[in-house]
Amino acid sequence: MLASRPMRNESLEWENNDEGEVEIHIARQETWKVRLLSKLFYIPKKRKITLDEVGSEVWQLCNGRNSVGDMIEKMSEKYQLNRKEAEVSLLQYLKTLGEKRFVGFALEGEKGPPDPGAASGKKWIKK
Amino acid sequence: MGAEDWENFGWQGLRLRVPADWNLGRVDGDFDKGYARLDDAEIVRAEIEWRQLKGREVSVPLSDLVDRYLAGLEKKAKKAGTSFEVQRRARFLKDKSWLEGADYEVFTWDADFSAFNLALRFADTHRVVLLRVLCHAEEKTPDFVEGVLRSLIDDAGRDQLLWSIYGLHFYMPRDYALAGHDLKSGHIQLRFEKGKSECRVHRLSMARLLLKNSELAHWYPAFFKKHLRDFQVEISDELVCGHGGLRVEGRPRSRWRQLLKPLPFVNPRPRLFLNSRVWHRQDLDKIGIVEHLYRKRDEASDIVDTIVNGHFIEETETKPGRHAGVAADAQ
Repeated sequence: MLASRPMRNESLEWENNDEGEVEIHIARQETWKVRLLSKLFYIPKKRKITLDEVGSEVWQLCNGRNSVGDMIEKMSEKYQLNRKEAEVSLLQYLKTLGEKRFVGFALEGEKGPPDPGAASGKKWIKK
Repeated sequence: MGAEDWENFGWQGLRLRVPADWNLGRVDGDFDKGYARLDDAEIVRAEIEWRQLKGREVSVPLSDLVDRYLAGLEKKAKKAGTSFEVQRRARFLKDKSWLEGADYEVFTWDADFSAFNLALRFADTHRVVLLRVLCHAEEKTPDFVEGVLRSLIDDAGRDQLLWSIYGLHFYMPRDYALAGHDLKSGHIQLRFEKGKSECRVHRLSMARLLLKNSELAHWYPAFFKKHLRDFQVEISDELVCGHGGLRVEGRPRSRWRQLLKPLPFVNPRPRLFLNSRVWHRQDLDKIGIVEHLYRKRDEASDIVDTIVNGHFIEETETKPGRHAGVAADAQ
């Protein structure tokens, strides 16, 4: 796990807001169920998730070049955290991002970002 | 590995010096019997088990206790189908002078890992401690093995015990026993009890973020709102360990107020007084809190000041991964 390199899902749109926080825009899924429900209820075409300062920092580091181990080092240095503290909270956070398919994890030896939306592809392993 | 790359680990009166990247991975038990495990970034590096001998156990030879322990391990290895080799009275220590006169045994076992073990009986405290340092099977006996083993100290006979985990180091009077702990990433909390009075030590990380939109005096009552709801709290600014901080004094809310509750006589929460210090260490980006909760006004003591000003975090807290600088004979 520590050697894997988290990569942002390239199909997601994101930007930094005025406060330097990351805003992720998630488009509504256009399945028949959602389309049907959207006739009955208001479902916005896009929703926005704003990450806090630490979350934004982690998001920026998920570029496919930093391993989880590198990220732990960087976070513990920047926020003066004990390594174990940084490790536990970072792994938990990455797990959440992985479950939501916001990031994938490239294993050792694999290069380059994954194909957009190829969440189930060989290169992009969801943890 | 230089001395500055080593840190103290202290728990239930046992003290060790370990490489700075070894951290508590699991802890269990109490003063009489317990277990703690220290991990580095890759593997389990050290395990320590302790037991207070009582009654007839005091006269049981240490070698018998080691026999029992090894028999248990062999059984487990057989069940798991892994190879297990033991070497009793192993000779991996270069210098044994520090063990002279002590009741001890050193032994090794090899399975998935190589384990260098020291079983030691502390004559004055009647505690038996088994400390093992683990290495990859292919690793030669690393230098740190001897360093870790020889740093083992049992402070149980002293007035103050060192508690040292994740870069938080402080001394607590011996008669306050650990009653609970919550080791969350970013918020470490240890709770000690002596009779009906209680002492709590908190350390919060990433203080800059916590205090981003508020001052310490506003943050503290908001963050601990639930905990403080039964107190009438007075907060005043105070320099704590030379850092900007707060003195917090709380007394139980009026009994009349409790009578107005729907079930006035069913209140499991006792009426308590509170005395605490809260401070922000900007250099370490941490918030430290020491709280003393007690039942009667006349039970107020200077325990908080003793912990904070005496030999607390100020003298021993260090940056992550740095030498804590606690003298071996610090009191």
